Amino acid sequence: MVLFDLKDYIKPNNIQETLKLLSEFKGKAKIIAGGTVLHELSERNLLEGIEYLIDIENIGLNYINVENDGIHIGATTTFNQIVSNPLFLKPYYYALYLAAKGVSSYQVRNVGTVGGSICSSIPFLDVPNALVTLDAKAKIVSLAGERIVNVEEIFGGMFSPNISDDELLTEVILPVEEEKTASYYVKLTERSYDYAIVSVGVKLKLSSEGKIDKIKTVFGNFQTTPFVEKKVEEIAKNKYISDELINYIMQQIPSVEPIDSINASSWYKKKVIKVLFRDAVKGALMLLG
Amino acid sequence: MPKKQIRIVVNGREEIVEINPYDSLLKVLRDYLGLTGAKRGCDYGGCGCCTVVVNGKAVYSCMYPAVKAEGKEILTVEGLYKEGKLHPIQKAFIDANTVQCGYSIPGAIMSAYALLLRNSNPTDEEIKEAFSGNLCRCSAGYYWPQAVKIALKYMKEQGEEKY
Repeated sequence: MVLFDLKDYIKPNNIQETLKLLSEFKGKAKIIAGGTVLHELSERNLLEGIEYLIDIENIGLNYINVENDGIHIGATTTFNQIVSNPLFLKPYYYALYLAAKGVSSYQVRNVGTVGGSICSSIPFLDVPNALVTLDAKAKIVSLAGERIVNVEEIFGGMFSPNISDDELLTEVILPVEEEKTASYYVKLTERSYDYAIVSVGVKLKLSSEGKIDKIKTVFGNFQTTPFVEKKVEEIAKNKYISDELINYIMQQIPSVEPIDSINASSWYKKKVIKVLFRDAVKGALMLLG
Repeated sequence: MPKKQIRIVVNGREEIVEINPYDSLLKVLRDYLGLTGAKRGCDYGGCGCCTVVVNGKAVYSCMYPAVKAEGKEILTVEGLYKEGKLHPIQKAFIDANTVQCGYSIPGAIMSAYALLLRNSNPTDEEIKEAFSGNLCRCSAGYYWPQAVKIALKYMKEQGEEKY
């Protein structure tokens, strides 16, 4: 970790204190939660001019609460807390469980946080892609007030979240469970602890007659932000699910050119995403029984 | 650059160290406290040789800011050896032939320790998962799961299921 301009590492004790520090330092401060992305940032010279690190570990954002409007997950909740919570074994939230469990290694899962993975705005992290699949919302607060946005809107390309310097993401809100709905997450990696080459999250809702009511498909590491493939729902809506339908969709996707990345070319991703999509849909169907 | 004073508990001993605010826990352990058990393999959370246990959880000390560890209890591989006696996990790692070059062993032992701390009867799958963040290039890592089972046997014999 190299941060030559760093003057202090501060650990505030509550949200209000954190917000005051953020507005006081205006862009000279960076929030850190687990600290696992810090290295990536400093390698890319993205921490130049950062004089203060503000650690939000002790401000009371470590919780998973079930409320009327859904499940509230605090920003500093770690991936292992998600994996060990039986709530996420339900078919509706299963994609999040799989994504959190798929995060590289046990040691990283002990410190990596939900809020941190969103705010780093990296397309190949698993948990943010699963949250987009589940239509999660995020609560962002500042001294001026609070706003609730879709997690999808926070991503603004590599390492640049749409969150201003004086704002703090405090929690993620997952929607209330729906009937006959299951979600699934599949990722392709070279080795089990690697970042995803590409990943697919699928949320599938069947109507009472067994037709496809809603299907949300998200591709990770496909564009610089999580990519929602709308074509799938256009084709599949109100149809009975069958192998022919899945094969047909596989021929029709993806609707955009994927980005090249260090571990795979655009050409390869375009081919392999079809297969991952099929696996994810089959996984969701398996959960629906 | 302004220095920062932190108080950490390492292997049961309270230490007060003066560090740079950006120092990692690994740097503090190795360079300031002279505890060279945790190894600096890749220095960015890829190899697991720097694994230590912080408040009962295995973490990569190379990407764990030292200031974060303030007031927490840290256990390194040096802390397992007590009163001239090897910890059952250490003994099991020797008896299961898990060591060739030995570089990754301190990290692997700490991962095993954290596993047995949270789960005194792990399944094969859980043991494999616990080592998911530790690499071994000598291929002796193949025997780590076996070592955990032997360690469990030793611990039962000694009557200390949770050390």
